Amino acid sequence: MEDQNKNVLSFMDQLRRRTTTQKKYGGEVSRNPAIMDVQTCPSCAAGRAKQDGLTHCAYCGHEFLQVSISDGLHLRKDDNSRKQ
Amino acid sequence: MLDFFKRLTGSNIQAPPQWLDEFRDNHKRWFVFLDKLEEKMDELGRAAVPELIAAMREDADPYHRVHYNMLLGVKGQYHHIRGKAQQVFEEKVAGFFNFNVGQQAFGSEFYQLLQDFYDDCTGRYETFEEKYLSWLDLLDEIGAQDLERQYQAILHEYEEIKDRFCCKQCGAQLSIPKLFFINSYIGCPYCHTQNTFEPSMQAKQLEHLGRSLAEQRTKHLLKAYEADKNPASYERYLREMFDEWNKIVPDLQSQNERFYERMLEDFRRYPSL
Amino acid sequence: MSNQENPLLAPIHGISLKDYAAIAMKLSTGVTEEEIFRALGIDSVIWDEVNTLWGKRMQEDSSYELVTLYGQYFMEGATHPKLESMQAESTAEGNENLEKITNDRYFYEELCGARQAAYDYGIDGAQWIQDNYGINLGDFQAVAMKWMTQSDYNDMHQFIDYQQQKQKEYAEKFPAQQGGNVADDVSF
Repeated sequence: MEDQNKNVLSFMDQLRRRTTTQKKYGGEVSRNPAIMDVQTCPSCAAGRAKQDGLTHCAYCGHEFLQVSISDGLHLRKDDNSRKQ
Repeated sequence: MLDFFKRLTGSNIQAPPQWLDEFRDNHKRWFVFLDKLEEKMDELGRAAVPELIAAMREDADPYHRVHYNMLLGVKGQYHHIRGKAQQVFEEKVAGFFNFNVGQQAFGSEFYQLLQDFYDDCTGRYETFEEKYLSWLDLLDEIGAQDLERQYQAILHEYEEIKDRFCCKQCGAQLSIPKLFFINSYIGCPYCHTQNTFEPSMQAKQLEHLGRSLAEQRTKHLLKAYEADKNPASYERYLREMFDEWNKIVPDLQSQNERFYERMLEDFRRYPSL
Repeated sequence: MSNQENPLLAPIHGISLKDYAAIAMKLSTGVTEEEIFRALGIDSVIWDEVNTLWGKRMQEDSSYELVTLYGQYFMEGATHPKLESMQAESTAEGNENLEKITNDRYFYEELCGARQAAYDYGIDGAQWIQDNYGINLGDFQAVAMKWMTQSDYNDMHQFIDYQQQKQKEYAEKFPAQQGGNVADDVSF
């Protein structure tokens, strides 16, 4: 009985070691905390304000996004910058 | 123990077939073999459960890959045990029965002996199968039980952090208006700059765990349908499962309602699937 | 059904289903999000909405058209005009093996069986393929899609049997190398 149990314990020991130490596909992922960031215009350093739309810089026309925003989850078509 | 062995000692038995010794041997050894395999399943389960619980709790990986790979490894051992039983069943029970039954006259005593042997061994095998399946269910439960804890941790974290951020342009305090699980723009009420909020890795798991948690919370309704097979029971389960899902991830309610309509339509079209 | 007929195929924030499948394929080969965002002119907020909402569209589509197209586009993802120049790091051996699984069905099925046997022993199967054959998961899945679309019913059984036979062989190799199975001491 004890010998049989040894098999199981030895297997679990090896399994624990293998699963905790082996390299995982996609690499390690950290439990990153939430962060706040801002993207200012790389051309003129202006901030990106909601009323000006998200796709272009209201001051110099720099293209933040090359796509047209549609009605999504939190984003709306209205978030597109007006054509200059 | 079946009484067919007792019948074998009767004086009315003439010219016992050659397979009789093997027949007795196979029956006895099959039962002992399954007893040993079941003991092994129990030992494995007793050793694996605390390890899997620890792996779930201690794994720093937000995708719980340590737990996932460990669970697959343990289940692999259960499949291996079951595979051993299957191989022996095919050779020593079904194979033995099929080889010898054709040589007996239908309805004869030895024909019946073989039939009883097959039924008895199959019955024992079904008990083994039930134990195998119940261990697999229990192992899956470990991951499932943790979903509620993970969800509560996400809610708790949101309450802790929602007023802790400042606008990156002007420094004014920003309030996160709701529990985001994807990167989102948050406008500063003072300078109107669009800040980009990236939720924690933990909060990002909300969508993935939403359906699993909703299914877990309504599992009893699905079991009720599996017991009574009443279509109304399944429709009740479906509606309540989606209601739970919508509570957990309210931002996806309109998309999930369309998914609900699709599942309901599929069920009504193919209720037996 | 064309885009115009099936409203579920309308692009989300300018990203079509074809774009989405190609992005998913490239990401799973190891190309970074940053490279992809630059190529498509999007950012993480756009991508997160796209990634969420295409999945939801596939869930609500009862015709299975979206899922079928997604599979086809994933398979073709390597040649998406805006993303084809992006390649994850690879080795000469990896490229050779990738070509082999693309053209040799039996080799492909063997690796499928080996990967499953690896997972059944607690080994990260996708990483095992990467480590031993230099093939990343995205490329492997694209090839899987190709074989799936090329299979006919008559061939399927022989390949299923072959894969299962290979899985059984590897299911003996891994324990033999790493400590055995718990029920090795139980015999009839």
